[in-house]
Amino acid sequence: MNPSPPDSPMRGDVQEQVRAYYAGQTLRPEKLDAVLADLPSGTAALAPRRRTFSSAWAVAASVALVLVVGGLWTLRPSADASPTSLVAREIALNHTKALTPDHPAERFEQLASMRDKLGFAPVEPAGLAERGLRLAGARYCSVQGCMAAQVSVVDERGEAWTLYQVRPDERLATLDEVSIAVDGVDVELWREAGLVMGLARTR
Amino acid sequence: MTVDRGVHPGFSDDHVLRDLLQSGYRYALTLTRDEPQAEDVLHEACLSLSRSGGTWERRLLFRAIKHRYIDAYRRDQRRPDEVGVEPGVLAAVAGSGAQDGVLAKLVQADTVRDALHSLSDDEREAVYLAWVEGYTARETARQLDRPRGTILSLLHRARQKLRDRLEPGSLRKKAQR
Repeated sequence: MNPSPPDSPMRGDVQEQVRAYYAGQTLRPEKLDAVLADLPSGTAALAPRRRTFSSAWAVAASVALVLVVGGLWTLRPSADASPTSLVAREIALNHTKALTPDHPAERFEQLASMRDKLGFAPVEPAGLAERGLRLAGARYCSVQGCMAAQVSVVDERGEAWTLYQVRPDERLATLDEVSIAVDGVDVELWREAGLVMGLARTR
Repeated sequence: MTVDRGVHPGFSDDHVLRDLLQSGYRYALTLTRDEPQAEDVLHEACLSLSRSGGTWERRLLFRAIKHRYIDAYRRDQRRPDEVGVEPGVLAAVAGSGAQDGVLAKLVQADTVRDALHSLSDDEREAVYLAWVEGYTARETARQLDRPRGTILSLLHRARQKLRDRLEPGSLRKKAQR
């Protein structure tokens, strides 16, 4: 099957398609008037529902706030809070989550549809095949707040690696090209094809 | 066409009620999968809610619609039949190269309706409440008297099924995995 053209209505999340479908389903004006005419005078709808903030939620929010503040204190900037270190840590953490790709693919061309959200299409790094890594799929993620592609690759032994690709903003543009280990995960960072790339594998 | 505001002097904005009725119609359509039946169910539910003196809240109207739908179902002792354009007819026309904007939208609506009809009743209802009405999983669970985990499962399964039908090539990709 050919991929849909960029302006095809087949594109887009299924949730959006369902919403668009329902938006087009309306009660006929004459039927709407017939229903209204059958309602007693003075019938009034309550205003559209608003989310209430119950005391239970207030308690939960307070607890969450304490946890977040505590977490931030724990993660307060350490001696090495450089962008390179932060990105490497984020990539290592994401890699260990081993999330399933939303876009299964065998060739990078099959990931072209991700261009709409990413602003770039995931590209195959020059050294990928040389290392015996083959594509398994991709999903969206973020690296330091920038929209990124999280590409799943598998080596010849079936071991899962994760490749990250992100278009660098001003901060990411200053990343060093390094190979470092973070919590049992080897992370390589480099620039290629105008993108910052990160490759992670569990030791 | 508009209704004389004098019929409903209690409205500061009768569009609030009209909006509620449109939502009710879509919910009824979700349940019945049939436009005329959805209109009837909505109408009966409105009369029922009016007679009971209940407030015109969304959740209460939806409850009334559900009850009227169940009543109608029991009366008929059969599932409502699908009506309308045979799914795939428009798609076949569009496939002949007539992909103009209007036709493409019709085909898309046809395709999405077909996909929605492929869901179970529970999945379709959860999808409508959560995705279209914007209910949280907890609110959907409360509305449907189901555990929240069940709602999340229904939504997950529904998303998978809809993806399989609406996203080109997804089945093939799944098979290749």
